[in-house]
Amino acid sequence: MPKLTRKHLFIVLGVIAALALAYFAFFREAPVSVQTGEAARGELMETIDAEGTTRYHDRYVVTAPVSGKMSRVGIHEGANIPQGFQITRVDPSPPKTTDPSQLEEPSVLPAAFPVLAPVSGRVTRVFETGEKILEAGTPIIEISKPSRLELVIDVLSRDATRIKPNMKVIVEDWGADKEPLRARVATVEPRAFTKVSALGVEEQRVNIICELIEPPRELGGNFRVDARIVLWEGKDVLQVPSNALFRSGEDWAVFAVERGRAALRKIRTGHRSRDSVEVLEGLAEGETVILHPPNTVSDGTKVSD
Amino acid sequence: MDAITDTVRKDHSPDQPLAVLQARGLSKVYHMGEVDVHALRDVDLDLFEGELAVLLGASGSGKSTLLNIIGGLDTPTSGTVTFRDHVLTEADDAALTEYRRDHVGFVFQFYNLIPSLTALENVQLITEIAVDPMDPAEALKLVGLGDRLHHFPAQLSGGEQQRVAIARAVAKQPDVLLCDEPTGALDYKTGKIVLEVIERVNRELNTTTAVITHNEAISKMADRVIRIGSGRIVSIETNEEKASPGELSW
Amino acid sequence: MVKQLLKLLSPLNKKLVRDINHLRGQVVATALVVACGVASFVAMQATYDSLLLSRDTYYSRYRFADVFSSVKRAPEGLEEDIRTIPGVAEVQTRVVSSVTIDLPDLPEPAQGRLVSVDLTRGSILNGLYVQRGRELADEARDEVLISGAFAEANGLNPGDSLNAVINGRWRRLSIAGIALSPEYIYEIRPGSIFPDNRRFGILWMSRRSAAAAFDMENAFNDVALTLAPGANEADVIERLDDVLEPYGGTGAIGRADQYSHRFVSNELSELEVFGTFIPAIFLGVVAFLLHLILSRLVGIEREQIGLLKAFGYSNRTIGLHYLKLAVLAIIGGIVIGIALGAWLGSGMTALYADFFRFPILEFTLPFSVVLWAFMISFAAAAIGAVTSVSKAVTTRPAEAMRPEPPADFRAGFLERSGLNRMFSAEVRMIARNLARHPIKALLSIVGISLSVALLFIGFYFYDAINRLIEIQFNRVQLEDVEVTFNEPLPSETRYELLNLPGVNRVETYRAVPVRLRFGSHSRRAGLIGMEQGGRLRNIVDKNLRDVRIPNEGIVLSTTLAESLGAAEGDEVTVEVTEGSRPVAKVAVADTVEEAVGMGVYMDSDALHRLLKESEVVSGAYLEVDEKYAQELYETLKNTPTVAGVGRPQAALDSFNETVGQTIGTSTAFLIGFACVIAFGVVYNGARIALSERGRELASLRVLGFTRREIGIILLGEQAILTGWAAPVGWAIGFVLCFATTRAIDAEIIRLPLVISVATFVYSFLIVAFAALLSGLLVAWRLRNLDLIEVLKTRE
Repeated sequence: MPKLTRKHLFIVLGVIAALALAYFAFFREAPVSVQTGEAARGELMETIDAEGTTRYHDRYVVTAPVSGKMSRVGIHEGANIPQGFQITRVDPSPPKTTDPSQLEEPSVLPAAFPVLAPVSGRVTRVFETGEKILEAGTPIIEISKPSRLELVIDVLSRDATRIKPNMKVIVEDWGADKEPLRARVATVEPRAFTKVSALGVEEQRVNIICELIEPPRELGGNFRVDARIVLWEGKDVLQVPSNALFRSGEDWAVFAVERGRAALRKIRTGHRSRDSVEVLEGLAEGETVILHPPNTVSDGTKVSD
Repeated sequence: MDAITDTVRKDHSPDQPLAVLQARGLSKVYHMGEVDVHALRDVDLDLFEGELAVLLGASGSGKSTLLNIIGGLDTPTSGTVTFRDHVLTEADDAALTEYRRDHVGFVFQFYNLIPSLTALENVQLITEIAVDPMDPAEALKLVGLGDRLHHFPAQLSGGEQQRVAIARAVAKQPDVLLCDEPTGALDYKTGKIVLEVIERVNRELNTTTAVITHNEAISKMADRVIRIGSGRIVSIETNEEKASPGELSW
Repeated sequence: MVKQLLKLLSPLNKKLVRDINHLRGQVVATALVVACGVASFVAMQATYDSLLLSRDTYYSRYRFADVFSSVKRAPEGLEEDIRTIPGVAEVQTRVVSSVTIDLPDLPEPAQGRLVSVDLTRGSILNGLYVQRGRELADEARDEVLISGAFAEANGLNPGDSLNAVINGRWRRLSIAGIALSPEYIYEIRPGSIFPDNRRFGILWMSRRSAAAAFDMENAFNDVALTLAPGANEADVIERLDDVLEPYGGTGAIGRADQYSHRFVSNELSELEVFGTFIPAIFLGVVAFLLHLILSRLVGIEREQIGLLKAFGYSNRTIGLHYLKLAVLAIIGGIVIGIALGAWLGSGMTALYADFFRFPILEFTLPFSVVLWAFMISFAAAAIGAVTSVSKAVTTRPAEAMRPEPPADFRAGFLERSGLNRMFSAEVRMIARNLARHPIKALLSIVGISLSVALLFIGFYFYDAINRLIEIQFNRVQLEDVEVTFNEPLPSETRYELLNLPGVNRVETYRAVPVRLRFGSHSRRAGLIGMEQGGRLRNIVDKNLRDVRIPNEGIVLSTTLAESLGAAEGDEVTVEVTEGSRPVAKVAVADTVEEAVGMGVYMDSDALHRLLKESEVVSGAYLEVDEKYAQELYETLKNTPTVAGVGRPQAALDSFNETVGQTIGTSTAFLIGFACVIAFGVVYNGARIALSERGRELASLRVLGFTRREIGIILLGEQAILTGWAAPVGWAIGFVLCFATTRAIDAEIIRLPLVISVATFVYSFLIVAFAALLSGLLVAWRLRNLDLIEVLKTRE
């Protein structure tokens, strides 16, 4: 029986070291680093987002009562004027006649016509400013009643079919660092119109008129805002971040993380918001999902946060 | 087998000879191109337990060849060699290695120490692989080098180096000690000291010892003198009285 | 026949031949290392020379310009003013623009760079080489020449047609021919790192047609010029900028900054560097090996040398004899190396021809390279020979013939400290042998560690590039599609994009070219204004840290910040170089160590305020439902305002196809080279140890040690050396990796210093395996140790 020497100890240590090295080199599965999110319950809003423009509901265009020379218009856009305020005057031009007999009766000529504001309100447009000769009926200014401010949003005609009156509208980005405003859909115009989009494509669009609820004073007419028409809202909706989803064949799927490994799950989706998607089937609350799964992850791959 | 060896060792008496090594009909032929050299021709030899035998012969007589074969370093062209029960001539290289390792101690003309090991370590090298070794320091003390344990061969004289070689050979308590011209490289005085050591080892440990030499004078210290010439055993003489190495002169 | 030849030689030379034959195992091992060194030298230097020659010839024959600038719109008459700028030799004005191309086999639109060609006056600068087909005919309005790589990738031939959207209008163009230009040797979209030849190409159209298409009759929007000898580029650029500024000039660049040229130059300088230090490593090892071999030989022949000198041979003759031996030993290796190098070089050149489009790119092996190969190899041989032979050769004859005393071992550190008691005699033998020749042991360790280092750096590249891809495609670019517009479009575009088929998420951005100034430094860059809360494009640094866009201030790429000398908190002047050219001072809110590109980012609202404009958008990142992707691409192809459509996935696939493959091949070569070095060093070391200690080992056999046991003693020494080569090799490898990250053009790409555990493990394992193999080969010789012979001789 050869005695157990230190040599044997070294050999045993050496073998252990070699085995550890081999395991490390060949068998250890390095986990793929991923970012994760969670399937959670919460609010979800499905919206149609578009740009909208404000305008006053009640708008009055003041026109020239007669043809003649208009004096300077002394008011500017934005001014608030009371009812009856004199905007300008129009000196009627003499009737054009070639009958010399009528020219000799100056007493027939009427005095200048005053142009008065029919209602009190804010001047929202000034069409003519300086002295000039106008025809009767030419618009001079527009007065709007500031109390009823509405929002005009144009959407694709196919999207318009999903919008119904009284749907909630959220108005954002109307002023720096201001809270979003509330509005509701008043009318879905029945007639579509053709518009060339900014991308250069011809589209059929429909105007959605919305009523702003308690518009703040700083908000005037012709303001561009971001509007979100809420098609559907849920309070306790099970949802995942939309970047966890990918197509697996015809269906949507996610990678759930089970015991440190990715597990492919086909899911049924419901409503979709800007950031999240409703999960109807396939995931439970609290489960971890992989966000934007890299190509190196497939079913069963070891992953780490 | 060890039990038998032990009893034999205690029984230090040449009157009951036991052949430790037996050679029968040994021949060795070297083929050098077109010439055949017959180094050994039909040699029969016994080596007995505990004896000190001297193999005497001129250079080229075949004495070294004979030693090499008995020591398991070489194989004969024909004939058999038996060590106790083992037939060496039928053994393969691994078996021969084991034989040398466990049973034989060698001392050569040119010491053949490992230069990168101290005297003590040179002996330890052998005791580590031995079955029943002596304490290495003891072996060195036996050859009178107890105070040179940690010296390297470069720091030892020729005689001291040879003594380390002897210590190395005996430390494993071999059954057989084979010395090939142990004093060949040494001067007169140092040679005698080395012979003294060999004699003492043979006497105190009862190790069967064979010494090869061409020096006639040395044969006087042997139990038996085996003369070899031209590959044959010329004669075997027994010395009635063994001279001590100190009494030798050449 | 050989014997008769031998008879003709002088005795010394006969000895030479016989010695080489006797040492053939070691000679072969050394020759292999020589062959690798020479092969790498020849391959890289010759390829470098071939590339350089091709490039320089191309540039001069086709009059590649020195300075380039673009403007919004300048009248043709301005050309005269430019010509009169001192230092300007030739001027060429042209019309250049981006167009989208609808290819039948490509789902998404491809991007094209349309460049006008003056057919009346001919190309003064940046001439075209028509590879196939014919030149443009002036009368034909709808003819184009297309660039070579683009044509190849899409299988387009002269006579084919392609559809393109040019300035918002559909055109059907017919391909007159395939052309190459020195301006687009590397056909790559500005801003990209690697080419995507399927989705980007250059179209050349007659000046008249291009001008008509872009309303540029008698006007130009791009100019190139060459410098007169002795002209100062910076001065010319400054004057040119002054002339062009009123017309919306964006700032001129010199040739060094021209996109294609930059890549070619970078590649050339990399070749130069690698072509120097890799052969140097090999030849260093060769010098060492020859030193080992000759030292041993001289040691064995010590007495013979003494004899020769006693008989009247001069020192010089004897020294020369050994030098001849060294040279003869490596000559076979040099010849094989040159042949191998030529083969490798032509392969490398062919590979380059895929990426860099030259009219002719041929591999030539200049005689100078061959000569150099011989010279540096002989130099290595000389170093190896001189260091080993000089001492022996100058010893006095009587001394040389005296027998050597036993090797001088003394008590050393190991003994005095008592540590030696821990180890068996065998281990002590090994340790003391190593300690006796510490320099030799050290050099052996360095030699083997060079293999480890080579592998280390090879695997590092693999890891670094993987990391880069991970960062770029899994963290930074998370969009499915990026669209860019011809001109900034109103903000409602973002909603219109959402209406496109399959688009689920839109994040828009505003991009403007700017010049940043800080102190005396200025750099051109592209400023991108991004939405808050976006997640399709992220700013991520090398260590995967996410950087948020601050509400105010800019975020600078660290390289850019460093070249400006600006740091966090500094105020940098931002000059917008288009449109109304506003200038503003903006604080640097953060710097980010990006892996790719030199970006400048800011909050889009803040940018709109800076530009005093409404919320227009230059482009958008889209998240797309795969199911409707095809439909989306079709729609985008038909959208006139869309200038370009990018798909990160396509870029990644393209990358894997091109660069990914070359990495595989070069890694294989690297492993081969490293193994050759390890094999060479260990084989020689073990072989020489066998020669030196053969007697000792035979004695041990006599004393009863088995063959296996003495094998372990012999190889134990090599094993310890190889073991130490691991940490040394890792250290050298790490330094090399670090140096490489510094050497690569930091403005294009910054390799992250990421070294995986696998790199450490594999770099050592492979070398250990090679060492083990060569050791076993030597140990096999132990079978033939003549035990008896060893006892008779003294040495």
